[in-house]
Amino acid sequence: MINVSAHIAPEARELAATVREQLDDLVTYATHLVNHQADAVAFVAGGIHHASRYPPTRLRVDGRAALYRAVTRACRHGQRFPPRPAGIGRMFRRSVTSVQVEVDTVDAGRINTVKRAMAMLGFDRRAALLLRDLCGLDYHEMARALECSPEAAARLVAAARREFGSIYREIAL
Amino acid sequence: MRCSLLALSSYLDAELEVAQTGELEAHLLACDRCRTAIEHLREESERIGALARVHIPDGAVQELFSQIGLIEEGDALPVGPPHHDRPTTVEAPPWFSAERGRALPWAPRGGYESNRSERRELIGGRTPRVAVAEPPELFLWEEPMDQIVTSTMPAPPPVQALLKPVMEMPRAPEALVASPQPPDVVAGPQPPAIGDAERQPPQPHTGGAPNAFQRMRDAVAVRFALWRGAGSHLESNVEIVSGAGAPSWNQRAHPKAWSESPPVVVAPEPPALEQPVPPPVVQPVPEPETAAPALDRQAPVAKTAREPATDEAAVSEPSAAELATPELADVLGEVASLAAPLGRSSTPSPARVKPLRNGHKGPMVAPLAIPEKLPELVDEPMDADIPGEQLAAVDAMVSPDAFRHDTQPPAPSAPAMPGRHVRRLKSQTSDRRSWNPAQPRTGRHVLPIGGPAVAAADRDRGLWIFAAVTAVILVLGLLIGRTVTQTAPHAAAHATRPHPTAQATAVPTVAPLPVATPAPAVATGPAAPAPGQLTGSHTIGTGSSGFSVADLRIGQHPNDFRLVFDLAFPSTVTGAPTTVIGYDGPTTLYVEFTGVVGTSPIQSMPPGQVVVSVTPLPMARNTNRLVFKITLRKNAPFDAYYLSGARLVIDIT
Repeated sequence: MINVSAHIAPEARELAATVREQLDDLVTYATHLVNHQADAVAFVAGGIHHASRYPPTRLRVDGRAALYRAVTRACRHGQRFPPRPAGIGRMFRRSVTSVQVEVDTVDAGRINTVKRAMAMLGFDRRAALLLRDLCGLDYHEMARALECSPEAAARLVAAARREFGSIYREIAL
Repeated sequence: MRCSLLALSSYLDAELEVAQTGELEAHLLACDRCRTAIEHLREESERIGALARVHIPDGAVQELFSQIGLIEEGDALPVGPPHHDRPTTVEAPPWFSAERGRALPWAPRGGYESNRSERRELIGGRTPRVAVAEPPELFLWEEPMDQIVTSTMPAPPPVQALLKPVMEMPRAPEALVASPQPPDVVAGPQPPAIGDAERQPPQPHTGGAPNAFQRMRDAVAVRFALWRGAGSHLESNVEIVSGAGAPSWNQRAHPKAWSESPPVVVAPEPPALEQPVPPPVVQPVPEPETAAPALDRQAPVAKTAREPATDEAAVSEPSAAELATPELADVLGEVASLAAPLGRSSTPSPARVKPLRNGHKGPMVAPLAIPEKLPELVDEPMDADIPGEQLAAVDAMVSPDAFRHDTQPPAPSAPAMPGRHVRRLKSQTSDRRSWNPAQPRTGRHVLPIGGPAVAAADRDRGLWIFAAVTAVILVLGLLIGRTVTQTAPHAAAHATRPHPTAQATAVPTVAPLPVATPAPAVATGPAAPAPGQLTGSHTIGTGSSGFSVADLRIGQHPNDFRLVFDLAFPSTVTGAPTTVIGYDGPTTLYVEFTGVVGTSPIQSMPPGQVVVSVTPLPMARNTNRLVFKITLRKNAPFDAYYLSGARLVIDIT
């Protein structure tokens, strides 16, 4: 049987391989970043969909930082995949099928003191903390993910750690 | 170097230069404050790193990638990072061990962050740890005893490792490019032979035709399964024509929008074999002997081509390419070489293979789906050398697109892609289509995915609810409005309408009554006529006020029918209210009290009497005028007077 379907670009396989390798960390990162499990999966899907438009060279050079940048951008701007209809027109349109993935995020969604303190941080500082301490990105990768310079990423991480520490100690005690 | 929070944080992350690192380490040896600060930073980093992780199973990854469009449904997933959702060794609960258990419900387990960048440890060595949300002891109790992994029991090979060579076989284009000519080495699913009944999949033994009860039972089971949501797992080519899940009339107009499954490749047969002129390659009926040498020439080719193959299926099931003539084998080899980079198989589908015409006695030859113009090009003798330009023409024509079953030509330009690396799985028209019952839409207000693809309009449910609520409100408004609607205009018109008879026959025999303000517009019922409009009226009473009708008594006397209005009044009130009694018609008698503010319920009249009914008319606002309408069975004279105690007696003869 001849498969008459279209050709799959080799870049798609490269992206799929990269995403497959980082998908658990991406969903973990998004879950702790937005504090919502279903939204996290939708944001990760939106980020991957956005990353599929990146040039292949950029994906090869940036690697996982490109994926983290796309997911961070999707979480920041609330870009889901498929996008939700907006405006008054959504009252007259049928709803869009959302990404349905069965993921056990109960443990990641459980609220504890750390997550409560994390929720009191700003988005950038929270993202910087998670990228560095949870996902293990270095400053250059964080700079690519947060769209800033490595020096700014370092300052962001330092300030976030200080603020998180003060909030955590205040809450925990 | 300036000691700061930024420097300490960067030092903790091993992001400082070598010289700065040395300076800071030298500084930390003497500075307790900075050492404490870096310890705090490390604790906070550990807290963040100990957050629970999320693992997405392979099935969910496949589904997610398929929805995004990274892979096609059915394609193999890229190899992901190893994940151990279960502990490899049996871990004893913390209370079994010597050390005290942690207070948190999870226990740290190392080894996950092996690929993370190294972090600098100033004091002591920090072991990378990650929290597992599931306590290991729960795993211990959940697993049956025979599934607990022990060191003596050899672990079975993972299924992923066993399936990996098979899954990656069609995706190895290097081997295909290296040997493009032999068509039988094309890696991919080989079609089963047509006449080989042994290789057919085993048919389920039905044990005879099902009876009516079994058919009904199966039909009910299918309907119930669809209703329960199992319909999404059925084959896409199963169409329900009636009952639950059947499309409505407007859905049948779009048969292409019925399935999201891959396109059905069982297409109409190639028109080349449908033409009345027999293809010169086969020549079944006129010259059956010409097919035999072709087979003779083809046999060694197929045989030699099968020799290097090690797969039993490939040996026992000669593909269609092996059954073809050498020229066609070369053509298919070119097709295979063209399809090799795509990772696809160029072997035609067995569903598209058509047997030879009737009357052909020889063996089955070349059951191929060939484009229309191909027989003309291969019309040359078998042993003739094919020129290079013809081969180029054949290569250009026998492209993967030439085997498309749809009759529409390919689009001249590439359609808009959702992403550079995303493969478009659906067309824009299919994306824009509004209704597809085979694809249940999900969202905030709709059924979950995998739900029944049945007639329940999941996305129109809001509209239906809105319409139903609107209709209910409308009906309630109509019903309530009928009961509370004021008849003021009618009452006003009736009250202000002059009564010619009354005006003509009114005789002011008595002094005019202190009639209250008519205010007919505010009357809530049929207004009573003015006292001046009554005929034969009698006016009695002393003009007192503050009365109310406490009771109405009736009595049948030998010569008349008596009505007694018992008036209640406070002790300070004396006299009787002014009362006008007169006719408004032959059988309508009005009793109008002035100075009476209310009445008690009036009992109904017994049948067969001269008085049919006594009805109190609604009082006008801000007036103390109370009117009773007495309907008589016949025109009868009356006599009215007050007794002591403010009792009005009306004797109707």
